[in-house]
Amino acid sequence: MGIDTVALTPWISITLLIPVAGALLLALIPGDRPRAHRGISLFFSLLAFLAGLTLWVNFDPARAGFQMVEDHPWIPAIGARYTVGLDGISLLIFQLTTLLTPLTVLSTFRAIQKRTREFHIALLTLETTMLGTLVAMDLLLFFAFWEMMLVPMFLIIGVWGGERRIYAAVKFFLYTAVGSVLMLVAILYLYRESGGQSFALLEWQRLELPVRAQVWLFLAFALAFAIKVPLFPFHTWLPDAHVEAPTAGSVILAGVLLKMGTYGFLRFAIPLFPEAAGLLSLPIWILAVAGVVHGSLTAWAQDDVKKLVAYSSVAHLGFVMLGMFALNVEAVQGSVLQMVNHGVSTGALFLLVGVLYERRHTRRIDAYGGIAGPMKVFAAVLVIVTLSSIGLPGTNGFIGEFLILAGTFREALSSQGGFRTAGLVLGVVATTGVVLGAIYMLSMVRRVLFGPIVHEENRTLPDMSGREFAVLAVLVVLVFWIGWNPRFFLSRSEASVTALVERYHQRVAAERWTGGGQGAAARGLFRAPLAEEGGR
Amino acid sequence: MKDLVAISPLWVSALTGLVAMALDLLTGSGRKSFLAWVVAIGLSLSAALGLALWRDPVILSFPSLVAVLHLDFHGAFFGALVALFGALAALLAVPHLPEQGIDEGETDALLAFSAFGGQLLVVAVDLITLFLGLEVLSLSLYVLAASRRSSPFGAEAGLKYFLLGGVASGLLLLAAAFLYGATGSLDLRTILDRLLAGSGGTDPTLAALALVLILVALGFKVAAVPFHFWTPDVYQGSPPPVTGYMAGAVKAAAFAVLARLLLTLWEVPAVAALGSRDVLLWLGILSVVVGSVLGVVQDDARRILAWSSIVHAGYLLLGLWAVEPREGIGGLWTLNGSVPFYLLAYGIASLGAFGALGVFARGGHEDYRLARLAGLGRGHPAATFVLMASVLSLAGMPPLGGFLAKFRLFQHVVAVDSPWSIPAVVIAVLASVVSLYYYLRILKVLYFDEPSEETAGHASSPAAAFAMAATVVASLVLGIVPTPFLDAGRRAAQGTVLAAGASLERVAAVATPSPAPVSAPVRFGEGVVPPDARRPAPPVPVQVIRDAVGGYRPPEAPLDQERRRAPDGARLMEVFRSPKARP
Repeated sequence: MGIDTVALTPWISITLLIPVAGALLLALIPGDRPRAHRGISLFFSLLAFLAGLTLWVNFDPARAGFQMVEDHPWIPAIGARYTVGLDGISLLIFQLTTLLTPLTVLSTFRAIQKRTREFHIALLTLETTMLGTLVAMDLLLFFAFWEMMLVPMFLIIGVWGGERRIYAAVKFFLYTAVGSVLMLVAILYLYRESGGQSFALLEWQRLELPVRAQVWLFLAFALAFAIKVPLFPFHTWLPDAHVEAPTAGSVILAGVLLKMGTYGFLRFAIPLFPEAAGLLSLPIWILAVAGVVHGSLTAWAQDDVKKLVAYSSVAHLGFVMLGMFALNVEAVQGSVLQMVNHGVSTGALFLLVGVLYERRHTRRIDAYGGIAGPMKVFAAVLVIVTLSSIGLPGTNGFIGEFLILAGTFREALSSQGGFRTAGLVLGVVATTGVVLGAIYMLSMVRRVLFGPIVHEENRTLPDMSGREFAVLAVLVVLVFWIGWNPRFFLSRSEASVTALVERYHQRVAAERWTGGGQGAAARGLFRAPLAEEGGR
Repeated sequence: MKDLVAISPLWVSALTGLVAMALDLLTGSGRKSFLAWVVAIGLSLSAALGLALWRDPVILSFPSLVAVLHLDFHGAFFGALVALFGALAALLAVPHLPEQGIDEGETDALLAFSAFGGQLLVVAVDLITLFLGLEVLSLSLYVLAASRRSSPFGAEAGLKYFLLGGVASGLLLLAAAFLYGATGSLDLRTILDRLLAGSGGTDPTLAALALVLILVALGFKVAAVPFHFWTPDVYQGSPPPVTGYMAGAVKAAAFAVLARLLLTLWEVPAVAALGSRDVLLWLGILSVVVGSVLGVVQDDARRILAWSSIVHAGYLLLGLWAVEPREGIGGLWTLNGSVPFYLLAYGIASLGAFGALGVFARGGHEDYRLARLAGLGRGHPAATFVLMASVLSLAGMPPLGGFLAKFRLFQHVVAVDSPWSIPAVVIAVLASVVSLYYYLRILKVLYFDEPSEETAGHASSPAAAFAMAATVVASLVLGIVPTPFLDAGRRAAQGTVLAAGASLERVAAVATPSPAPVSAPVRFGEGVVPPDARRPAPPVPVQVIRDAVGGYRPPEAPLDQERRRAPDGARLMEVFRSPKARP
């Protein structure tokens, strides 16, 4: 990986600046004009989407490295630079973010009535920080954006959330902060080891660190990312945060914020510490599959719709982690696509839950039932989104999960010994997770939409408004677009993912062991000390 | 005249205080917010003069006053911090004081005087001037701490600060006496030279004892554990803008002088052998951990910020531990550049936080329990935003100055060649998450809780609004475009160890095999003043000797000559002798 093209027009920076400019403008508007706040917020988030589209257009899918790179000195005294750029991995999530934000803004028109100005300021600031995290190629810049994401989300959950919002907000903040401070120490250590000249990701990738140090550093980074993902067993903040956050907060949280964790693994943890990533891939697989099973079973047991969707996130991101640490092209491509899918499907699910909540002010599944009658459009959309979430062929979810599982099995089969057995067992268990997903999602749909109408007030529920439908229509189009024409999306990330995987294998193979596949790499690491002793 | 210009930053501050006092007397009763502007402008002018004038190191000595000043960027930077914090505090106090029935003129004048003390402290080379500076700074603050006269908390704060501060000052004086006993001089450069020369009577044990006393005395001033017990009570009892000044300016001045004294003494291998620099590491870790944990159980915003101030003292001690090589001189160490930057970012954030607390004082309430801050974000978005931004800067969140300061400081700690450098940072960052909890509690009551009857009223004024906006802008600037300030901090840090000229000289002496000129043995209690030097110094009015350090060439036998010209002992006695008794 390297820098492939340099930006002629700083479109990335412009896209980053648009939301924050909107936030500054909002700060000047009096607090009692909610319509103006919503309009400005929508305008600026759409503007950011359009600016983001120029990146999509200018992006050359054939190149693997970073494109449209902007590089300026930031703090020369310590060598920190403002370096931003996009590659195939970040491009998709970047577009997802710029797309989801205006949709989220639209979804709040009725849901957020108090302190609209502050809400939209927080939302727009959050967008800038999320986008910044995705494009930063300088570790200090990345860390700054990463930390900055916390405050707006903390406020969104804590001010506009549900009953236990304060507990959820503080838990969210502290959990994420614990993870990131250790990453900070790791960054400082890397800075010292790299000669104390720069924070550039591309330079740090060339460091040849001893495996022991790599493992510690990887763990420090991985903790930060694993909490964000969230990887089992670091997921306990997620149901609280999701349930208590307002709909808009949940959509952003599920759609984008969680991706920062998985993205962090792909962008930083794996390329910087390839040997450690190989060594620790089996434990991560185990945690990922545990997350799939735990998330699915817990979701099954919920009688709160939002909690159910929240736990389904844990399961879905377990798949993403599984594919990522299979470290071959299919699986990683699948997990990149699954990140987008999860943003689309789960984002849509949270929006749908929000639609229900606005009507009945309850999220209990047994408060509904039979509402397919009065809410026909809603029912149709919910069924489509549910099918996409459980991975029905023809929808986006199928492509992602299939690639992940196929890649995982290939990886397991290409290795030998214990790793092979473990990989196959985990793959089978993860596949069962797909079935579990179908069970809990479909049973939720059945209990909400079908059956007799038990509660009289459900009989007269108004169907989705034009605005609500418009928001969801965009996501439904994406569901089928990705489902029918995945090449269009996969081709963007293919070159970068291939380069990432190849680089990983080169690095791992360049060490003492040989053999293909990350299973071999991990075994080689386990075996290495013994082989050395034998040699002596 | 030239020298009057050179020391103009000092007398401008002092004059500002006098002018404020005089104007206060002349204008009779009524609101006196203009005095705050007078003080703010005067102190800003003083800061600007210092930054403009004190660039290349210049040593000014005033033999008849036994005063030696070292005017360089170190003094300019720290002096400017103290003066600017004083200016901000004066403006921030404008709406607070009348609500609380505190005399405005008095507060403003005392702020200016204490800033003068701080500025004097950071340029002093001889221990007497240094002590005087510290006392001017502290005495003004003792009064300011107690300025809420009707309140028992105010009295408690003043008394506690005064008694414990008095003990600390006494210890510092004792340290000065020990150093004098060890070396026969009060001039830091001479002390260092004689200790380094190391023969005969110079006594490293006494110097090491002095080092411990200095650490205790200034550890008290900066609120480091275990010398921190006064902090929560004093922070709670003083008017918040004064507390913000206390936190920012006293820490800045005290850390500057602590670094100067400790690092100077540690230059001496014999002293360093008796007391390792690692004591800073342990005090730092202790402060960070204790401050983080005990802050969690507090219920008053000022007490929370007091514990936070203890945590920050701990980070700064770690920064002080992480010395870096001095430019151009191999093997010698100086303060690293992150500490001055940290003091700047911390002072601004704590002034912003306490200043914002101070404007929620309507109706004479002096209670800042968290419950009284509930829901303020709704009614007073601007002031609450300032409080939030300052608290987040204290917590070290980007893009505010506090983040970069902490980051830079930890960078230096990680770079220390010690097995403890990484564990220290890990402990510090984990403690910072604990302290994050209480910062979040403040944000929580401000934004998440509903306003209640208890919620504080808001008293605003253009002056305070200006100062509050300035703190937020400054925090953002420090976080986003920190380069000029980082550079300034580094330059300021380079001037920490005083005997720059003498040290250069010393390196040269080590390089050439010829033995360095060593003075006659000086024993404790005797021989401090050689017989031939008992001839008192000629009673010149204010004879100013100026020598740029760049061209500082000590004569063949520097110690002897200097002593013949004006032996410290003789000069010291001269001060206490009446003019008539002089021959």
